[in-house]
Amino acid sequence: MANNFISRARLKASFDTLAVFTALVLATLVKIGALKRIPW
Amino acid sequence: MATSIAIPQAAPVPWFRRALRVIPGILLLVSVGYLGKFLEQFIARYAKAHHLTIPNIEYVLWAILIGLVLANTIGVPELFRAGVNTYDFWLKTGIVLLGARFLLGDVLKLGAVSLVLVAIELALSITFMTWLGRRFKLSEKLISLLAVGSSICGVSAIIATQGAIEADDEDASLAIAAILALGAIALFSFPVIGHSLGMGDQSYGLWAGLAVDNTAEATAAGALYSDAAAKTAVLAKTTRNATIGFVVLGYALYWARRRQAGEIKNKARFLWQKFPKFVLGFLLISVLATVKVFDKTQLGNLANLSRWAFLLTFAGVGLRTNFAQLRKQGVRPLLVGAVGEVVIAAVTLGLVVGASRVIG
Repeated sequence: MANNFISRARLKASFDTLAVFTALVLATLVKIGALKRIPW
Repeated sequence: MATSIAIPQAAPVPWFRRALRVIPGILLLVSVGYLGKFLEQFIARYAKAHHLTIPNIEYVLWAILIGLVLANTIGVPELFRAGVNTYDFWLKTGIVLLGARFLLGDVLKLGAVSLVLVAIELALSITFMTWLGRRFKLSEKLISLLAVGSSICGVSAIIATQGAIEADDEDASLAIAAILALGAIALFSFPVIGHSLGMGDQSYGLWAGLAVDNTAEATAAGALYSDAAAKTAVLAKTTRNATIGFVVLGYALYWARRRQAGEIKNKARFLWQKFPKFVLGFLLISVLATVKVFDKTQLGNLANLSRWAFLLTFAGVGLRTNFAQLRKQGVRPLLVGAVGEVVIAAVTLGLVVGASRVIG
């Protein structure tokens, strides 16, 4: 049980830089017009 | 004669296999999130067509509820778990993209107010949780973990502190379970309290960002209130997250002085390692939006990308909350956490009401 919580929490911490990188790639794609219309 | 025993080594998993492993869970996040969005729109259309007055239930609540029901009835099969655990990746991606909806001036103004409130909240909650934990005779390291978890940012802070103060996995697990259970309760109770007190979007968002522990739950608690409240909640919570390194460093030095944790050789490096990098990403996108790198349509697209990322996060919040697992973690840490959270929520509410005169 302990390992379940701990391993998930460690996984969370590892997403930090990847999330920033992904967001910047998406922002670049929006800026250069590759993503023209994102619906909501 | 000495004999050697060959221990089988697990072969490293290639990156494309790891990527493939998360796909089913991500598809589940998309399905649950989109079903939530569909239900909100479908019920609204149905009510309009039949001239019915039905309270609008936001997609946020639907996504969380569907996830909760799935996780606590049929459970999340192993096939989907790796992908469901990526909800934190979507949360951080969403927060960075949300930077496009803030001008730097607003970030600095609201961030400065948040920082003052965060400093007060940190001092009060660490002092109170330490006192309360000792009254309940919890172990000293468990008290440190609960204090950090409830004062800064829940699970991430606990896991960062566990490594720094060399706490047991068992203590970290108890603290994480308590924070997750209380986060789930806060998620549903905060909007009700906010509405009953007639709080404005900004005041409520500030309160949720200061008092709800996990970033995912704080964002969801804000989004359940309004879009504007979610924006403020994320900013206040991000400010709180930014202090994680300093508090963890303080605890590491405290335990090192008591010779129950290793020395910190390079404090600046330690702070950088613990600093949540998505805060820098959020600020960078906010700066780019402020200097008009993006036009109006592009800003709208970035905001929508952020909403999609949050939608997957909210589905994940429900899917990863398993009440049976949380119940098994023992009553005392949960009780200490619950009493502490109620006091922290009341104190931060008072702080926010005071601060709302400054921020308007």
